[in-house]
Amino acid sequence: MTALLVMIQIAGRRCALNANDVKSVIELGTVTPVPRAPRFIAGITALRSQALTVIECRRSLGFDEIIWATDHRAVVIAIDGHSYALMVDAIEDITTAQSEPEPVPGGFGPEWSRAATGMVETTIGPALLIDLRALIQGPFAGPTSLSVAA
Amino acid sequence: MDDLLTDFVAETREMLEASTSEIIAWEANPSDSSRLDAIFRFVHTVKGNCGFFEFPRLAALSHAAEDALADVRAGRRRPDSAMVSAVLAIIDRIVEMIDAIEQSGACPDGDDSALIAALGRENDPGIESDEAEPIGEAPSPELTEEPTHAAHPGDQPTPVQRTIRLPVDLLDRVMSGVSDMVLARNDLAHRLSQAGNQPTIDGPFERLTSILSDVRDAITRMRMQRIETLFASLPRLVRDLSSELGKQVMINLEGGDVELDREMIEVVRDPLTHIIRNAIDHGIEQPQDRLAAGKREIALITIAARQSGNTISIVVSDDGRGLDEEKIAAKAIATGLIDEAERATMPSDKLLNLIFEPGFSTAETVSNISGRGVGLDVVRRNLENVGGSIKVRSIPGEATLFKLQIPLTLSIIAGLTVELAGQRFAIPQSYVEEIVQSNAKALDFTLMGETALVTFRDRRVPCLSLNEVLGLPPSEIEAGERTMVLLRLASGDLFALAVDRIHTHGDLVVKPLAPTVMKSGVYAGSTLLDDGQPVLLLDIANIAAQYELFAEARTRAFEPQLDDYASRKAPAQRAMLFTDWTGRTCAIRLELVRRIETAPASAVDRTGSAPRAVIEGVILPLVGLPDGPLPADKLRLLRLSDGACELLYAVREVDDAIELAEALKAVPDDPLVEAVTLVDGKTVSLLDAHELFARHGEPPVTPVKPRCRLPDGEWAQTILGPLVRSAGYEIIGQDEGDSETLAIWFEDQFEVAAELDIAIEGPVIRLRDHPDAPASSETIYRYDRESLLKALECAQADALLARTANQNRKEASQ
Repeated sequence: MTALLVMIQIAGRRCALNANDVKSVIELGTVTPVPRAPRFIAGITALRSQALTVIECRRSLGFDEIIWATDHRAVVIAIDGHSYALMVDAIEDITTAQSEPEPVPGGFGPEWSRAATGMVETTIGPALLIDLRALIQGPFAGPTSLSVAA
Repeated sequence: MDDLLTDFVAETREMLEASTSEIIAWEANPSDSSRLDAIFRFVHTVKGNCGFFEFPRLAALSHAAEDALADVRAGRRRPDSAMVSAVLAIIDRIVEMIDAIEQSGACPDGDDSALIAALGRENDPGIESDEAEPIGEAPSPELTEEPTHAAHPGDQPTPVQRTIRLPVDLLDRVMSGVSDMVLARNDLAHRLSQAGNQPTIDGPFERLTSILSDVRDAITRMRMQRIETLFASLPRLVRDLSSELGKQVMINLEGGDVELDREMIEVVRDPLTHIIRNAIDHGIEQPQDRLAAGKREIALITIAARQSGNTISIVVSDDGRGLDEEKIAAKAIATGLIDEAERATMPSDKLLNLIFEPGFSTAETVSNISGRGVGLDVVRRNLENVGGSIKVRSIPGEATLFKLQIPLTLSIIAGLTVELAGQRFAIPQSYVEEIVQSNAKALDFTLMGETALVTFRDRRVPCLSLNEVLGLPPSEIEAGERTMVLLRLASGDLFALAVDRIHTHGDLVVKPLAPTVMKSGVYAGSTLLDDGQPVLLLDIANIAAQYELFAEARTRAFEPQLDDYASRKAPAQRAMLFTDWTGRTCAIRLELVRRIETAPASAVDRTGSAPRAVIEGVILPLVGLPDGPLPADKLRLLRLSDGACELLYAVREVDDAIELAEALKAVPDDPLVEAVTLVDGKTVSLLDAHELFARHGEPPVTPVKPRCRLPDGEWAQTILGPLVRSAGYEIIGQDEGDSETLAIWFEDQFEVAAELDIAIEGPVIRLRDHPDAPASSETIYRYDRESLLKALECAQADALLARTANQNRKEASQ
């Protein structure tokens, strides 16, 4: 597999997003909070004439402590006609995958298992391939079929 | 597929769309040659374009249709329904082929000779059938002389606007581009104002602003479409369905000029088609049944679109047999939607709307018209998904009416922006009734328990704080000093929303929010302000529902949820509290109390074995009276009803309606008391309705109104009739009634009858023509209103007494 991957860090771990899913990377401007929304939703922000839902990826995975720095940029993705901006620790690089996503014996730990499709080898080392749907559904959604398989 | 072919397909489709309604109109009036022109043009163009491609079938079909239509246009042939059907069939075949061509780029093989032969049928007298009877008028002579449409300048079909086809994606891109331009302009405006006045820049900037707003308007309009485009296909649908089912249906379309968002039109298309299918299949009777029911043979379906504010209502009504309540109820019970008890108490409009519940369909046989497994529940769900609603009303035997309500557009609404804790929120303008810059005195802000109330136009209105709704910390601004936005819900209920301040109002381009955000249930979407800041649009209806500010939501809270049997609570039991003549505080279940009556003592008859009273001309059994003389001149009576039987319960005092919250303790030794319970710390006897009705209940004695026969003649009908009716009589025909019916006679006719020895039964009032009467006459001058009314009253009292006596006699003899 030679898919392009966007390498990011979430909660101190190296993760990969399929570059086809990533629309752009933006400077995160003002985020308008959304009262009564789940905690992993940081708010909404404007990208040109579009409103993006800003996802706090660490919270979305179920990590509550904020001990990592946050990148001032965000990854923009679109799922089912809605656009989201992902707040992550850092956006590192774009690289190619050198293997198919594979499970790791013993799993990735409860938080990661729900959102990770598997481990991929890349030019800058192994990374967890993240399932974007799981990411935008937040920590309370049930496990997706993919992560069960993993 | 090359471009030429794509254009051919697109052009054919477009022309077809434009001519469909013309075809139907032409069928209704075959002599209208202006209608013919559009159809002729269509087949002619298809034929001409076929020349560029190798489509022999298309060419043959269009050629045949063109020939036939040319004959009609030249007056050589009279159009009949067989011919119209044949032309329609050919057009259908052309459409099928166009579809196939679009997909594969080649014309499919097949045989069209039958279709082409059908066109020629009228020329062959041998197979002329009943169906081929000419319909409508024969072509008029001048039509024969003026075969081209140019001769009819006043009666042109609506000219087809020049159009081009665009993918919707492109449209959306242009629209969001313009939105971005507006944002950039606003940004620039901000910077310019910071830099101070610069005449050389300000002028062009103003121009830019006005051009931009023009463009924005035009773009918005690009998304809007007349609902006509949706209506255009309906006459054809109705025609095909009705002829398939052997019914005759006319369609009447109103409000085609109402404009609707392009996407909204697509959303409405299926529900509308579904309802029309249902109406023709189930609602409308066969022609012979309609005639038997005294209706016109041809049924009428009316579809009317109206715009009011930012909603569009589409009403689909038919004059068919209406919905069968009993059938719906039986089906709903059979499918477990409701149970028998619920059925008994369910108001009929609610019952009718059960047809929108999932898993409901009354059609016993699945026909290929409407029984396609897609029910009205899907229709309702699809409409609700876009913020619309659907309701049904029905008059049995006469009409069914579906009312669809949909928002004008998915994307642009007028809105008000409010500020709260430094953040802005938008409210759809349609809900906003009034904005009140409050101070505590004007609004009389009070706290009732945890609920805040304000007084608005002498009404106490519940007041929500937006902070609380959104789960934000309380505002720093004093509760009584905040700005109140008074909101009126679709149900008519009013409530106030307290915010920090009002910001601005204007058109908002609403974008949907991500599903995870929508789940919070307080937002309807998001929008961008002029400065590019995103703002959340509040979902007022949903917020009101969450706080149960809705009348509907309140009642729903008392009623079991249809889909929630297991967890439903028993509905609150309510009772009427009263003091009876023994001084005991009693209660009777509220459902039984039909009315509280006040009756004069004279209405009570205690001569029989059981006391009775006359209320509004109805004799009812009376219980609860003390022994001895009547205690008062006027009696308070509870009129109780179990649905069939009624009785009156005399009470000393009516207290109040209460809820039976405390436990009920059964009382075995008093059969008339079901239980005792506590109300406000005092014991109350709850009457046993079962025992009460078993002992005393009787169906009310009918007829309610005494009847009266009038003499013949206009004077009697128009001048005497109303007077008699206002005296409480029902007027009946000469040959109706019985020996107790009062009859009014003119004196001269009465005398003639007496001369002829015709037996005159029952009481009689005789009228004379002259004011002066001979002595000892039993007649009344016909304009002596007072005497006439008195006579009517006496006759009524006599009749009632006679009936009461009869009844007592009957009871005594049993």
